[in-house]
Amino acid sequence: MDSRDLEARLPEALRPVEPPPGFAARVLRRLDEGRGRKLAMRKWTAMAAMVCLLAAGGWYWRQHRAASRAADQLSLALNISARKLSRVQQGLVVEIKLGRNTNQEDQIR
Amino acid sequence: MAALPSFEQLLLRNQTMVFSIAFHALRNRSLAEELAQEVFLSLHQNLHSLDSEEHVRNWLRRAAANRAIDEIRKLKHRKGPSLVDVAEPSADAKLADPLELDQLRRMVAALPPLARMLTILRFQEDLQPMEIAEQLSMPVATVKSKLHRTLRLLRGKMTRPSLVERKGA
Repeated sequence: MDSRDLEARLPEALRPVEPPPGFAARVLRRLDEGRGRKLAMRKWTAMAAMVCLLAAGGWYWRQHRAASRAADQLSLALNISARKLSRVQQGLVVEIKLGRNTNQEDQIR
Repeated sequence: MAALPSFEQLLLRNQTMVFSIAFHALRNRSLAEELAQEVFLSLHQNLHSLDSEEHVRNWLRRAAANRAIDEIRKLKHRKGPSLVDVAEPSADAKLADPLELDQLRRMVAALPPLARMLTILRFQEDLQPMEIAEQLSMPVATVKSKLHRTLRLLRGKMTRPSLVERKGA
């Protein structure tokens, strides 16, 4: 085979080859499968996001409830303390007043 | 500008071209089909960036050529025939045309990856060196010199007397 022969034979040797029967259908099926997988993936992602959101909401609600309970308890404790202090203060005032009166009576005498 | 045909039409019109590039490069029908399917799935993802049928055809040719080169390189790491392994055509084979063509195909399939793809694009797709250079993003001079060297290599292989003939002499 000479050089011109080779260049003439190459296109013949490399002539286009038909793909196996059903090739296009297989490509389209893979495309559909891919679309189905993508849809399923989206569905799972949305569900996972929903679960995460619910878990985060639950956690936040529990934290919020604990904080509000602590605030209520603190407020109650402060109220009780304030009432006690007020009572003590009233007692002291009475005692001071009584003390002053006794002193005055002593001076009059 | 004419509207781009549907993906299905593009698939039907170009499946032979893409499959042929893969088949001549890999010499294996199932590997070639797998590669051609991947090329079309990739086209489907990139269809929005292509605006004409000619553009799609060029895109497919480039994608098939590049993927085939990658696949040949991967296969080469396993075990593939080199040009040295391919038997030279005997005197009898020169008379039998189909055998000679098959021998020629085997020799092309045993070329190094880039040389193989250049030969396929030049002689299967009938592209000029300038067009091949554009397809593979290479300088034209490199394409021309590589093609020249490849043809010389094939010619040498075709004209050299076979081992059997030499042993017989």
